[in-house]
Amino acid sequence: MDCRTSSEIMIKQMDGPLAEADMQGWQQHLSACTKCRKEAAEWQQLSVMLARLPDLDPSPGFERRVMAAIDPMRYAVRQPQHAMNLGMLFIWIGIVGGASLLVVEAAARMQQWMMTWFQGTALYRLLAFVYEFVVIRGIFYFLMPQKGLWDWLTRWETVDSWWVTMGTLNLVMVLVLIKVILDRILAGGRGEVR
Amino acid sequence: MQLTDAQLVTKILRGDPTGFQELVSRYQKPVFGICYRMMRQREEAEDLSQEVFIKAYRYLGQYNHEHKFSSWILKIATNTCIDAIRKKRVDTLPLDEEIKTNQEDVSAERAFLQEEAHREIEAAIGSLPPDYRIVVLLYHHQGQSYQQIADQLEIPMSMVKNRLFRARKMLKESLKKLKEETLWTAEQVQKS
Repeated sequence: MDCRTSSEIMIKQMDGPLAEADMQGWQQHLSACTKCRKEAAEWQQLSVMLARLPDLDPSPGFERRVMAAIDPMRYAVRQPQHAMNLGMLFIWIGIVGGASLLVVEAAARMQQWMMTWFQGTALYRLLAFVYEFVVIRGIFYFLMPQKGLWDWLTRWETVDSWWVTMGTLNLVMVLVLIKVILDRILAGGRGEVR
Repeated sequence: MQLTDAQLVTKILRGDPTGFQELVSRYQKPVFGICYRMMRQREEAEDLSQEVFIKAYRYLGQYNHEHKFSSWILKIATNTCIDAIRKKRVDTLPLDEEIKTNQEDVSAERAFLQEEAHREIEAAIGSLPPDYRIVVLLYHHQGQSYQQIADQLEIPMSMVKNRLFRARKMLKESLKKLKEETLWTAEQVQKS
């Protein structure tokens, strides 16, 4: 073995134990070559020093600082309680609205009877007025701009919840249908729309 | 029973961030070790280590469970340090403080020699170019394989081997030089 091959083996040795064949030839060369023996000792020293590199600690409180810097809600399940409550409210409004719709529809089908018996009375006019102005317009002109309700309806968390989205669509659909049927009733069953 | 890294990741992704504290606790030393030895300044190394963990948390959903978490976080640490070095052009500054080692179980003389050896090897590692330094740290200190280092640095394995080969030679020369300087200084002190 020459000194060049011996040098290569020294470096190879840093990756793990040498093969038996390499080891024997190398040991023989080392016993005869002072220069390579000295070099081998230097490699050995480097190998030991690298293996003994100490672990380093960050300053105390490092964990706490990292935890304070992360967003703990990043992977939290997004379903805020208020959105759930609001969603349920809209579902119930939808159910009640739907039931009301059936009642109003039934009333519309009894229109002929209503016309002969009820239309023209002051009570009929008063009820129609109250229904349209207080319920329908009241919702759009009075309740909606009130602080809180408008925020609820436009806030992302609210829209984000499909419960609320479906509930809102349900509410809008019910209101539109009620208005249409109401118009039919107020038009006196003649197909005219006021 | 202690949860594995993969189980902790799953726990965090299901909405429990406390699992992340355990991961920070497990990997703060290797991450800080890489950052400190690459940046050579404690304060900056701490900032970068913090950045590494924040990035890891942010992109935890992208972690592939087929690979070791340790390799993944060390890859983030490596890339973060290399980016910081490129921005700052940090090269071969000395460490800003001496690295203290546990000396409870060794005699004063042995402790001094060990301290001296650590100081020498740290200085030698610090004198390597950053591309070589990271390879030495990942291979010799973090126990990564050639293939893992190649994956982390996104370079061919032959390049990893080449850099490590050159780095080791440079380290040996640096240590030799340091020893000669120390001997020369000792001789001067004796003469005066």
